[in-house]
Amino acid sequence: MSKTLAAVGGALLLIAAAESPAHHSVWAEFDRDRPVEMRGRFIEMDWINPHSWVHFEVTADDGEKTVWAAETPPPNQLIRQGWRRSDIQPDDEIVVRGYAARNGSLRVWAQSVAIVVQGGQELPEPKIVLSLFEPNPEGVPDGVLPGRR
Amino acid sequence: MSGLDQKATAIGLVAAGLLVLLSAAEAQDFSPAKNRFGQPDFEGIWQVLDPAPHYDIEPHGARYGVPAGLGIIVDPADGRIPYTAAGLAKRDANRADLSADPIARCYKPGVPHIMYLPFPLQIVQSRNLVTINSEYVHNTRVIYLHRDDHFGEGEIDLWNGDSVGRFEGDSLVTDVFNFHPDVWLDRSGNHAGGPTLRVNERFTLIDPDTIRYEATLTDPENFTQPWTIRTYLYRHKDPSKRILEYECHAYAENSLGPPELPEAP
Amino acid sequence: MTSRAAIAVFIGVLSLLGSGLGSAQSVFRAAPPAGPPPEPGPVDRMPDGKPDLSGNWSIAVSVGDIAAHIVRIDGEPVEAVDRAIPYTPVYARLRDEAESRMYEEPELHCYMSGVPSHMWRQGYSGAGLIIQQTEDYIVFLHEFQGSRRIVPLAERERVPDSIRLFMGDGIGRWEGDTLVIETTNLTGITWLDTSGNRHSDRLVVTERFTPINNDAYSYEATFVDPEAYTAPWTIAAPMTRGGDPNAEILEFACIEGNTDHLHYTEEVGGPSRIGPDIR
Repeated sequence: MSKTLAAVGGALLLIAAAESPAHHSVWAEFDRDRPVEMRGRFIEMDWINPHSWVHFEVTADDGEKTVWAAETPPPNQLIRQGWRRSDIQPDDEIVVRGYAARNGSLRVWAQSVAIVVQGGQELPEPKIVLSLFEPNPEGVPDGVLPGRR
Repeated sequence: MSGLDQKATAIGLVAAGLLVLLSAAEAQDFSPAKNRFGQPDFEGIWQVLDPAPHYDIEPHGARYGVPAGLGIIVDPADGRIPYTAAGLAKRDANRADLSADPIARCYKPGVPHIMYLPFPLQIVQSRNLVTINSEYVHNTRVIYLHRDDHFGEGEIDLWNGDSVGRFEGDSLVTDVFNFHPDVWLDRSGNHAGGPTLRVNERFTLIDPDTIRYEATLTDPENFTQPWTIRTYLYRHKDPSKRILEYECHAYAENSLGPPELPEAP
Repeated sequence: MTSRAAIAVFIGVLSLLGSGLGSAQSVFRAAPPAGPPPEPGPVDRMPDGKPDLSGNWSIAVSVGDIAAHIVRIDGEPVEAVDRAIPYTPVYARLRDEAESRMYEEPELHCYMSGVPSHMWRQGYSGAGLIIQQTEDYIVFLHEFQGSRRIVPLAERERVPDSIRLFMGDGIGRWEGDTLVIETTNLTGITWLDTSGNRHSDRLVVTERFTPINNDAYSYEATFVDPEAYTAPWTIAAPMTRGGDPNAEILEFACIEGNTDHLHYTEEVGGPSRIGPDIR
């Protein structure tokens, strides 16, 4: 009984984690049957409630560049996952995993964001700043939240 | 210095001295009740009486729909906000586009404007928190008593800022940091916000039913010096008074209301 | 509890309590999470001897499906298979139309979540519900949507029937160690969960908070609404106080950056139906 529950729970964990902070509105625009992974050059980020936006430029194989916007949970959640505003700088490269828009617009509902090139250097390991698939593996870094120093 | 100037200066000095004497007199004569944590007890439902600062915290004459006001700035002595050139440019830009007023959009009024809105607020105290619960769009400021540090500069934008507080004698003093850049101080385009702003408040009961509220604003980007406002909050005495709701954005045309019910099957 | 553990617990509770997200009401209901019942123990009290609920809390009600927690309908206990809200015909139809009415989700429009649903709305990294209690008032603050209710702990006159409040008019009283809050004057706009279970503005909710030990209370809520329900129904769930006495919540600025309504198209009541957002 407990093994089955654990197996079922694991699958549900993935779905629940993906859906849990989102309103249904998100699934009106984005398609949970179209997961995507994209790599691009970070441009800027809007740290706003109730959802923040990551703007990044993707270069296709043929060199064509398009600007995408990834919608994330709100800053209240991002900051508690240890993501600081200063973590990603313009021209860093990021990998965004999430779900594509139903209508083909250049938007993604982001479930994870990781930095792969920082300050011109390829990182040996991607630095995950957001992962709703699993909690921040490093916990909240020291010094992010006040009263916790 | 001419005779008139000397007189003006002398009056100014006497006035300043009177202000100090008045403050001292208020502070000395009254000692507020303490709650079970030994904190001076600010609990109750409060509201400013003067409608003018909500419109314009500087001295101003009346205009249609706006009452005249002597201003609530007590330092500097001329009662005007000591803007830098950048601060003044932003104020002028605000005045040219009053639709950007947070209140016009039902946005958070922020700190200190929340304290002198034309809406009641209820103060509730517990061991680690003082909450200031305004009726305006369910805005609640939480002042944390258990810590004295903040988020790093620029790490988060909060309309109300991040407030920490402690009790100093009979006063509640706060340190507020991490402001959103778009906070206004009134409905006339005066502003104080952004990552370099710091606000320090002092709440003092001068009698059982009156709180003297002071706030000093410091921001080298926008102001040439720290400057201070002072106003008074009065206790609502009607025993049936309570905080209701003003959910601003819910009342706009085409806002979501109760559902159109389906036909009975 | 670390924020990571708190996230895991939160997600774990969600996954175990059934996934009614966006789906029509199903017959089978998942059982509440297994675990030993809390042991009775001493309880922090106010100077007047009443239990002190101050602190941060989580309540094990599924944000997606309130019906999973029904324990009684019309005063009688119900089996898991019968955990269905006893809707009137019109409100049963309203519930069935949920999929096409998702634009009416109040949080999409930056409204507070209503009573009692605000209590089990999502927390971020474990943060969410804070209760502040004095001898005269109990204040509930939820970070999500900034939902806030201030409930007096003494009898007082209700607001007139013409006044509808998102968080209703709640009045608290003590029955021994149980805090009883009765809430009236709600709107018909708020939902009971995210899958579209609703109520009318005639709803009267009676909540009961009973301490077991200092960190474990039992929570019950009874819903009476002659327009929406054919009988009173009651949910029950455990409430757990978090271990961190310094837990904090952040402000929730919603209208200031809200674009959620733009997820919908014009046909589904999109931008033409938002408030004074002029961006």
